[in-house]
Amino acid sequence: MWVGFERRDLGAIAHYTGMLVASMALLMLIPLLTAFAAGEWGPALDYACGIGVAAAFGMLLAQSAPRGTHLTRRNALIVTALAWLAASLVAAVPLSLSGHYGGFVDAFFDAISGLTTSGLTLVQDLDHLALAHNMWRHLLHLIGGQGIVVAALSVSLGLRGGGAVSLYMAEGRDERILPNVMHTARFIWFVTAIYVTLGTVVLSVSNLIQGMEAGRSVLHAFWATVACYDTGGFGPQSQNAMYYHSPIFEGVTVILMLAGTLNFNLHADIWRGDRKEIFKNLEARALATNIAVLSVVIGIGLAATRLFSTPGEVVRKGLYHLISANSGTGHQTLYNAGWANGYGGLAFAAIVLAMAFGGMASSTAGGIKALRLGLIAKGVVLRVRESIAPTSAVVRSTYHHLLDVPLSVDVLANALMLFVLYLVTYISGGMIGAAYGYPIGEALFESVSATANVGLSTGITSPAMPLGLKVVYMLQMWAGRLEFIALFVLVASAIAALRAKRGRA
Amino acid sequence: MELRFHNPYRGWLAGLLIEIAVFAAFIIVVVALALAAARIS
Amino acid sequence: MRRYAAALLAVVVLGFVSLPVRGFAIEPVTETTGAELASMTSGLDGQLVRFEGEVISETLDGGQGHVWVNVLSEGVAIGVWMPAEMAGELEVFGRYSHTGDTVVVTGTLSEGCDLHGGDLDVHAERLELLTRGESRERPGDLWKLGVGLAGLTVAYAGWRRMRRLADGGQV
Repeated sequence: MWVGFERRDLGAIAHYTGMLVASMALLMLIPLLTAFAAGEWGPALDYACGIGVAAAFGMLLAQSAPRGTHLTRRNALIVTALAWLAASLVAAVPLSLSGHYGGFVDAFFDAISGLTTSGLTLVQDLDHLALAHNMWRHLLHLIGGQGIVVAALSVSLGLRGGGAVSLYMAEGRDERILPNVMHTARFIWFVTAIYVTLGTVVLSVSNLIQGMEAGRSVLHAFWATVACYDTGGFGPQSQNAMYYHSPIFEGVTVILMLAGTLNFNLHADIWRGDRKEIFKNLEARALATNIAVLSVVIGIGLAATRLFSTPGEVVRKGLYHLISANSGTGHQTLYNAGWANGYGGLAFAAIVLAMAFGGMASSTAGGIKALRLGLIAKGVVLRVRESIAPTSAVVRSTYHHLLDVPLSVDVLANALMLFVLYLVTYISGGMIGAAYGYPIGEALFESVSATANVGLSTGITSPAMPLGLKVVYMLQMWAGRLEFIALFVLVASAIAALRAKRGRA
Repeated sequence: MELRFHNPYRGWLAGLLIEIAVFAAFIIVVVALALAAARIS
Repeated sequence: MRRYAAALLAVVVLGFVSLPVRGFAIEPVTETTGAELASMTSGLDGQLVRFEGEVISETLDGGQGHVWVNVLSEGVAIGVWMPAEMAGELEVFGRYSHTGDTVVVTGTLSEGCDLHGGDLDVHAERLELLTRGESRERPGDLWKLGVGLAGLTVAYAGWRRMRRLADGGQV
């Protein structure tokens, strides 16, 4: 039974989407100020234009309903799904004006990639990109990573009452950390602020010691911190993390990536004083096991190629990319082409698996997520135990995620469904890439990277790639970030609305 | 008392340090694992 | 006889002078680009290569009295490791406001450098400055400001209308 749409629903959806879009105009003030500070007048005009377009577009949409309109749960899901697209659309305006993109589609690709904290990029001549544009690209990671909705909540732009709660719930962060949405948003920003400040300070010092100018040191440090902590993957230089040639930089960013992939509920629990939670938590255990096993695999794989002659090199290269892949970050210290031509099949496979599995739920990481993998593993064990036990015995299983929870069929079914949805999307994207003529392995790598919002690339993602494939990757990044459900609600609602219209006619 | 336990801001510094210590320890463990794997092959 | 001796001396001296030059020329140098070096299929691992490009980084500390300079060549930037004094001539690095110094790097390619944690890098033996970098004119388009102001006007009108609606007033 599909519930049809009424004018009121459309009005509410457009209103809230509009408010979110308008908040992007406010956020563009930051790159605008960066441009002024750096004396980059051309980019300053790009942002003046972007602010106008975002504000006008957002406010026009917002006219469709009065402020404080009630937002049902279904409509909130639709707003969430649309907000990523609408916000990316306006975020792409200043980027496309920069002259560093092949066209609006390429800029739109980068905006989606930024907001979904993926990190795939179609930017050209990145090494000569203005500081303002780099600020905006990295800010997109921060905005998207903390959730467009949470970001909007914290600037408290017209979202009040029931609407805000539904919006937050719709974002896939289904457990509430603190009783009140406002408090939850504030706490998420608090954790973020602490880590971003710490990371920026440490990396600034590292950059200064390396010999960078003070201003660039701090900006680069801030961007790298944001990109790692929000598991994004953009960098201000075409060489990404390789630009710095610094083991300290790599070590600090790896810790930031791990911090970014930690479930916010886990952060909250530990900061509340429940120190043991990080060891008991099913998701933390699943992720740790996952990385540990794959680190052995990548160690064997890279050593076998004989490209690196000391085990130290194998470890430094292998683990950086493994953690970058598993946390959904996508920073790299190797050249793209090497994945296909230099680092061997086993390391390639380990990276693809790490990207596909992903980090923790309720974090900025993408992929299937460790919680689901842990649940599925528990489910398999439960089924085996059931089979071995005498028929009269009742076999139960519990798992520890913040609380001891009985493993129910519902929970398991949900985890399995999303596992399958991710898998289907990974493979479909790979097939489409192969259909465009790319080698199947590389196409699969790129497809997984897009869907799991990672950002590692074998080099397929480039301004020269076919338009169709750009669109496919954009859809994958969007679907993967929304964990499909909000997207399906959008599609189903659109169909239902069309049907209702036809029925009336 | 109850309120204090639920306030995540109060213990943030200890929590942060524990997190970083756990991450560092974890990295050392995986480095050891990968190093062993690289040595063997 | 004296003339003979002078001619012989000249030949010997010339030979000595030309020897090191020939000795240098014997070691083959492959002309290449950053894009080819980073492709991992160049087959030049461990060999002497020469490529031209734009300096896009400040000289970063590289330890052991060496520095890192990133050189952008054919769209791909390569990390070049060199003695600090070799980079002394460099002044301008490429960024938004500047085109960097154009240089020709001659050095040894490592696809997985043992000294630098497996990085793909070039250890430079020679660095020639071709052209000095310069600041870049990047004019802005004023129409963008016009669009922005028009957008803000529309947004302001919309915001006023919504506030009036929220206060329960008539449109």
